[in-house]
Amino acid sequence: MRPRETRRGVIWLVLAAVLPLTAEGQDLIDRRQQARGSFLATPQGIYEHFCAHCHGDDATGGGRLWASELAPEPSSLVDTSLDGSALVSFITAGSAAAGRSNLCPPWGHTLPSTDINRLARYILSLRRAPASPAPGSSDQPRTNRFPWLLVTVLAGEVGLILRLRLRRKETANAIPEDPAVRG
Amino acid sequence: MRITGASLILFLLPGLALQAAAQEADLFNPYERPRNGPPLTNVFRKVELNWLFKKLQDPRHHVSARMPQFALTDDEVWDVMAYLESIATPAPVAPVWPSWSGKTEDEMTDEEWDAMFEVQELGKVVWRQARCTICHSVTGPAGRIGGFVDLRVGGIDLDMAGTKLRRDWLYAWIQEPKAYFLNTLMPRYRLSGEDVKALVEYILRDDSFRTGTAPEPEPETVETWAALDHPTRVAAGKKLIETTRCVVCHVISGIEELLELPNREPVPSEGTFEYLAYDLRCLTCHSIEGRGGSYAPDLTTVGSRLHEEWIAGFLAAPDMVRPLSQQMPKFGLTSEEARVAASYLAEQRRDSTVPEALPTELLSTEWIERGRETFDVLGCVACHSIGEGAGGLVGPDLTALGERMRTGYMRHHPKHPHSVNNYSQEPDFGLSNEDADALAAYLATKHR
Repeated sequence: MRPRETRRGVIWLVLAAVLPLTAEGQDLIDRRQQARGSFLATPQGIYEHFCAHCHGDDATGGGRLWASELAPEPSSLVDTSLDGSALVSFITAGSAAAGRSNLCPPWGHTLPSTDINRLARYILSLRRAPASPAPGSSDQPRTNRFPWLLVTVLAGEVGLILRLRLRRKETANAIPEDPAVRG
Repeated sequence: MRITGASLILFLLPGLALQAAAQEADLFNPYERPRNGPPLTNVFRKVELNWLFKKLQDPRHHVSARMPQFALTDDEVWDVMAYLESIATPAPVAPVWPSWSGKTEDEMTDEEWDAMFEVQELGKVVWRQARCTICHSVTGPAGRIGGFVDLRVGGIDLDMAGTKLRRDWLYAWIQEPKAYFLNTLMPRYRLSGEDVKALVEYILRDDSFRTGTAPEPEPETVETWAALDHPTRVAAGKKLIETTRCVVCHVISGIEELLELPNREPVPSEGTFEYLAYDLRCLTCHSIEGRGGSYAPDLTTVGSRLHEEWIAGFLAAPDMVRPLSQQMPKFGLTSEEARVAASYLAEQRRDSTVPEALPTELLSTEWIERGRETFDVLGCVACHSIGEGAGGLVGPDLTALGERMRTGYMRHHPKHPHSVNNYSQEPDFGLSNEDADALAAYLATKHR
């Protein structure tokens, strides 16, 4: 093995040993463990795990068996009038902070804000009558389309350029390897 | 940058120490078994022959089977069966069954039918109390139920059990599962002979266990069975089993030396928690130090959470804790066994970061009153009920929490609700130390 390879190997080893001890490494491990709970991977999964007990799988409220005796009854989420940012702060700070009963707890210390945003978007998607966009607006479908073709072509170009540059580097490196020069 | 060997070792040391700590507990992990398929040495005692024939011919016939399709011809299947029959050992003494047990319902007299019905109803009770559906699934009138634990092995649905299994084998299996299959995940229930007989009757007669199509034996098949012990067939079957490498998954006597694996776990000595964990397969559902399943609560630090007396009482006669989750099976442990397990869990499975008990000054009326206010303000009743008041059923009832939980943990838990179960539905309220203390003082007092 050449010395350069050995050094690289040692650096990897050290990284592997140190990573679990650093805050970032721990975060990475936590995220991996989170990923194992595949039921929390989608906003629907988060909803079903944390919210559906009270609000129901179909979000119509009522509490089912788990919370049917609560007063007031868990509210229906398909009829909610809250907009996106109000919903996010409602979930984060709980119902008491929004001036309602205290039965819906604050989830801000439990779920990361990205999850709360996704959850809010999911709940809004369950709404019975979509508030926006207005029916007949023609630009809606076009903006939703992701330019896959463009991305693929660009990725191909980048790959080609990188390969060419790498090959040029290799030929450049080959010159000092010449025995005459080394000697 | 130069990296010396010494600094490298310094970096690696903490990781190695963690590794060593993780290996400390010597508990049986049911998920680390050498072969995943059931042993086939005595399969002739276990299943009906037409079922075995169908299984070898088309392994996918069984709903949750993982056996690969070997595309054997009918003749080859007969050869394999001939070898399997030749290696079967004599059956243990069979229990005495009632006179009606072999009859179909149409053949019974009215008295026999009444007796059968009574036994079958008892079997249904045993089935429910043993919580068989935690691991096994069946397809009843309401659709598929059960099989909640991901056991990582196939073939544990009982859809066809009623048409597949033999009565004597099923009785012996429930009594002593490890006598047939040493590395099975099935726990050994402490059931009486009568209870086991009733359970067998229920499984063999109820429609839930007869969902799969039962292959009917054809006349020529019956003839072939009679001629199975022919030496050429036996030799051909052995050859086939060797070339198909059945022993990668199954123990088959006469062939297992092709792939020698440690098949015998060291059995812990009786009267220890390790033995109970081995015998009841606790770690199929529970986990300790990261080993085992994730279906039931983690037991790594259970000694800091629960009272020893409560654990002992619970193990001897499991009661409801979380009303709408699955309950722990009734294994029928003796009070001595329950005491052994409770003292191990209470003394060995501690977490030093959890306080032992509440300081006595917290049990004053002011703190308790403040705790009551905190409890009301946070809206805990959305999930928990306490005392006479109505509440949700998502979390455990907190009326007599002091009998179950140690007061020190009551103080720890509201501040760190996800320290034991990462996926607990309990929200983190970001409580102050004082609020957590007040809450603990309130919960530690009796409410009835």
